[in-house]
This record gives sequence, C-alpha cells and structure tokens, in this order.
Amino acid sequence: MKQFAILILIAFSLGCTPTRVIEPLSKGETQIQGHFGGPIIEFAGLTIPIPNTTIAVNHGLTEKTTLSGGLHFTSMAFENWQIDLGVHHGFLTPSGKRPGLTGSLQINALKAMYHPDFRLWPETQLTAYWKVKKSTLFVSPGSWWELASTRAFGEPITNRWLPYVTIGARLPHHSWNFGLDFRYMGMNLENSGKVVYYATPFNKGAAGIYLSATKTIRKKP
Amino acid sequence: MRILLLLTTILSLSSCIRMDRNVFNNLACDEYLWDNAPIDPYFKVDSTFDIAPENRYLFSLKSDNLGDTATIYAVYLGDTSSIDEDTVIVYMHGNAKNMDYYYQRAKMLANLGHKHRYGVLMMDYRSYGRSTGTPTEENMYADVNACLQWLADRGLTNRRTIFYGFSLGTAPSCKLAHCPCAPITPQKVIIEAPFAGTDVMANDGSGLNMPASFFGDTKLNNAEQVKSIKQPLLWIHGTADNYLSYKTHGEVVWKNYAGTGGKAVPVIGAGHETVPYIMGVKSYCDTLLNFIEK
Repeated sequence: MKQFAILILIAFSLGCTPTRVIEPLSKGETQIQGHFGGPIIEFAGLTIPIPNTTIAVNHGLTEKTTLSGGLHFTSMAFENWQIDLGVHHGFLTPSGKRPGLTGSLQINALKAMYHPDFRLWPETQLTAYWKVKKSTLFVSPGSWWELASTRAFGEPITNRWLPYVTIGARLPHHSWNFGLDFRYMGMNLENSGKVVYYATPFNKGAAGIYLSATKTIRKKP
Repeated sequence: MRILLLLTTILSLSSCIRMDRNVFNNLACDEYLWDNAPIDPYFKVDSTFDIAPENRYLFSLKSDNLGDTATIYAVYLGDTSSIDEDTVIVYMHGNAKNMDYYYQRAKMLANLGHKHRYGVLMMDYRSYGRSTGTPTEENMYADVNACLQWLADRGLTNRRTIFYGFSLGTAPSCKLAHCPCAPITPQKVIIEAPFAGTDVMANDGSGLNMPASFFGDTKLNNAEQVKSIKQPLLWIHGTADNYLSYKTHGEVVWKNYAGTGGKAVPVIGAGHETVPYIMGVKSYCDTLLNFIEK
C-alpha cells in the first residue's frame, strides 16, 4: 500500500525553516527574509524537498540581541496559522579561526483555523559561524522540544526532543544575502511504520534543503 | 496600501488546500482483470483457490450519502441465490488501487476450509476501480452500507455476517460493526493491519504531538471506534509493518478493544501487506477458519 498522500506535508512544521539568525544584527537594523524548502521526501516516484514557504522579519534590539518573527505561508494554505517568534543572542564574535557563537530560543506556534487544536513547541539552537571573505559559513545544532506528556489516544510520549544539525552558508549579492542550508533532523527517530517516506540514507529522521533570501530594509541608524 | 495588499495576499493564500481528498490512493479502471491483474507475484494464490466463473458476480449499485450519490462496483464470490442461507464475509479492502489488487485475498476467504465455502462480498469505494464519485471518509461508510443493504435485501442476517477489514478497510469494519446506521451488524469482526487513526499518523510522521486536524478533517478513528465493538474480534498485525507501526497503530487498537471473544494474532516479521504470506497461506486460512467457526 502506498502512503497516505495526506501526510506528505506532515513535516511542514518539522524543522520547517532554516537557521533564522546566524549573527546578531546591529541595534536598530531590520531585515526581511524569505525561506523556501523543507525535509526531503519520496513522493510519486520523486525525491523532493517539501516546499515550505516562510516570510520573516528580524530586528536588532541591541548590538548583541536580535528578535525575529516568521509567518508560515505553507501552513496557512493548509488552514493553519503558524508563526515563530525568537530571540537570538550573540555570545562570541568571530576572530580568525575562532567562530562566532549565537544562541537562539524560538517559539513555534500552530493553530488550526477551523479546529480548536493548538500546539506550541520551543526550539533551541546554538550557531557557530565563520566569516570567509564576504560569506558566512555556519554549523548549527538545535532541537524542537515537546511539551506534552501524552499523544493521540492518551498514549505516553517517550521522546521529548527532535534534534537537528544544520550546516549552511550566507552569500551576499548586491543588497541581498542568499542562503543555502542543509539540515538533518530527527536522527533519534526510526522512520519505519510512519506513513511518510523521508529520504534519508540512515532510515532515521529526515534531511532537508532550504533556500533563503534576506534584504536589509532598515540599516543601523 | 502596502499593508492592505499584503493582508489580501495572505488571506487569499489561506484556506485553499486540505489534504482529505488525497487520503485515498485509488486506481480507476475500465474493466476488472481479476486473476489477470498485474500484481506482485507473491500475492498470487494457487489454483486450488480459483473461483468458478459462475461464482463470481460483478454488479453495481447506487450509494447515497446525504444526497451525494455514486455508482459503486462490487463483486460477490459465491452463489447469489443462496445468500439467505450462506455465511458471508464482507471484505473491505485497503487503500491502494482497486478490487483487482485484493482479488487473491478474497479468493482465499471464499475457500476457507473447502471450496466455495463462504460467500465473499468485496466492493470498490468511490473512485476506486469502476466506482464513480468522490472518496471521503463518510462516503466510504455509505458505500459499504449500500453493499450491506444489497446483502440484506437478499436475506443475509447478522448471525451469518463476518466483517473483514484490511488497512483502510478496517475503518468501515470498526465503524459499521456497531453503528445503528448499518443495515447488518456482523457476528464477528476481523481486522488486519489496522491503523489507530490519522492523529497517530500525524504524530508518528512529525515526531511531535501534532494533530491530524492540521492537514485535513479525515479522522479514520479506529482506536475510538473499536471501543464500541462488542462482538468477537480477530486482530492481526505484522510486527514488521513498515507503514502502520505495530506499536503505535496496531497495539493501540487492540488495547482499546473491550469486547469478549477477541483474539490477537501478532505475525512475527510480517510487513503491512505480507501477513498471509509470512504466516503461510494454510496457517493464515486455518487461523481465520478457527475464529469464524469457534
């Protein structure tokens, strides 16, 4: 029996955006970001990334702290409101081979438009980044965290985290900054018996590809 | 003005896609090929299970779900003139393709114990095979009910009715086994590779406590429906089911069954579709026969 196609987009909130903020913005600086991409699945004989689309705004609150907010269009297309709100703090600036370090805490919230169902998942992330010429390279481990203690039909939840590792690059071009991220997520979870066929060589978790474009709409005052 | 434009875009993008219609993995056809259908070789049963042409009756009927009507195709394996005397297994097939894909399984059921022992009715839900209409969860129940009414009109009684649901077919099996809406209430119920519900699919697929309502309105809620089944239930699930997890789907359904005379048959090493073949056809048939005749 083939998969229930209904669930091909189940992963749209499973690591549905790339790393939002690599390094903190300057105080007062504001960026707008578009993200496209998601976990790679096998569907209809093709291996494709789930086409998640997100628009986000990042704003430098201080020189070290940046706030972010994102609206997820793919979720809206499926009659859900999905937003993420985050705070990102720079702990270390890069120097030579020593990477910069940014810690992120995000809240991901999903509300069905026409059902009472609401879910909220915190997400933590630590990003190490290096400046290479004009580009920025980074590696970013993180996790979504499950707050509920039970799942469907009152069954206990035994796994409370959904870890991932992202590697990627940010490449400036004129007034834009383009990004390419690869993410491997849920590597602690077996894929067998799940209806969705994630394309991964390890039969665990899912791999994802994401593209992003960022434009600074308000520079440091 | 820009904000208004953005809001308009956002609202126009919203509320436009639900995945319910994509739940059903149907295959339409112009004619049924039965034994000549191109299916996996291991699905073929040997010639001792062949059905004589005069004992295979393909027919169509009208199914009506609150004014949403469709033509449903079904096949009866057995002698239609003795439905008022025979025991009939109503086989509700899985999500893939159409009746051709499940014909070998239906043949096994018709020949449990000895040749042409049981009548078997199998139907294609809306949009499967030659059946018309739009597939939905409620339409599927209406389609099965229409077939049950066809049997009832020919004299089939509750006492001589067995429900057998495989995978997707476990939804109408569990729901209609206790629903007053069904023209016939079965004496016994058999479910093979049942799913617990779309919420479990969403949970498993996302790795998070994500409800299925984020994707569609289809519930296919076997774990709840099975609680109302009081008849004897034969539960069969492959421990190596790589599609519907033995643990998160199968075991939850069995755990929620509260009737009497139930029997669980975990099939070690069997996948989603391979239970009869991992058990061995004889062992599989004996298991079913023992349950039906007990």
